[in-house]
Amino acid sequence: MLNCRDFAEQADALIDEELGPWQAMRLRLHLSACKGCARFFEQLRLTRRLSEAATAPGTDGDDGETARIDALLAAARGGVGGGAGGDG
Amino acid sequence: MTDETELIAALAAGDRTAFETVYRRHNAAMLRVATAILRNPASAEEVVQDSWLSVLRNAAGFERRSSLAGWIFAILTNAAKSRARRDGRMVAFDPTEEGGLDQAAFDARGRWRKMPQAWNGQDEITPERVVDGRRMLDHVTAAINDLPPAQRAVLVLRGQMQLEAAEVCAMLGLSEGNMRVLLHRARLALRTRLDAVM
Ligand SMILES: [Zn+2]
Repeated sequence: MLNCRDFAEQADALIDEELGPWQAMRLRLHLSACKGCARFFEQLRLTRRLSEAATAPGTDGDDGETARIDALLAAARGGVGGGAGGDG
Repeated sequence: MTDETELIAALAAGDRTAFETVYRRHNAAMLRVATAILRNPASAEEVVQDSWLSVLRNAAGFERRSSLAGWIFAILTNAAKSRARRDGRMVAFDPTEEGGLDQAAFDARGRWRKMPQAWNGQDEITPERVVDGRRMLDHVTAAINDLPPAQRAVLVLRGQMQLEAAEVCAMLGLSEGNMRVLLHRARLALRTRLDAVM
């Protein structure tokens, strides 16, 4: 029988719809009957949303970047070798 | 797609606005991925800088066989891997690296030792919400930075919307199955970390 550890181990795959129909059904059955796993599942969904926000493109942006962008553009134009240490 | 065509053309012409757009979109993720591959923030920084130069110098010849992001991250991961090799470091990611579900949370029969408790106000958790003196976004970022390297690299690359799963697998030398396992483990580990602060 499927226990809470089995559920927790496969919960993320369930969200990504990677499980076969039979296994997905077993997990959903457990989910509907187990309060602990229902909470766990909700937390995992939240975690995924927060993690998406933290890894989404464009989360960069302090002011020091401006100088670095200019230095890279100048280096690319001038064809001066090496990018290392290019932050002016 | 026309947006991307214009962006690439502007990039090839050395247009500052175009470069700034692309830089701000990808630089943070590039640093994280390079750090995961190189295990060394200073080398990672250098590799990212070199990759940006490569992008600027070669944008004119970019052949559109992938998205712009796919091309940029391929340049980055190739540069990071050859740098790692030069430094005499193993590049292969270990798909079996530990982490993921906290096994101590379960008893011998696989039941929760301690039932998960609902997180405080979990219905209104946003990235900006401050919990325990820090924004949720910062809690998650710190937890991501503490993940084992392969999990971190997969999570960050899969977070880049324009990258295909197959592209990410090729960049990291992982099978699709192993990539999924690492991704699931990463999210489970993050959930445990957040559970500790909520
Ligand atoms: Zn359960």
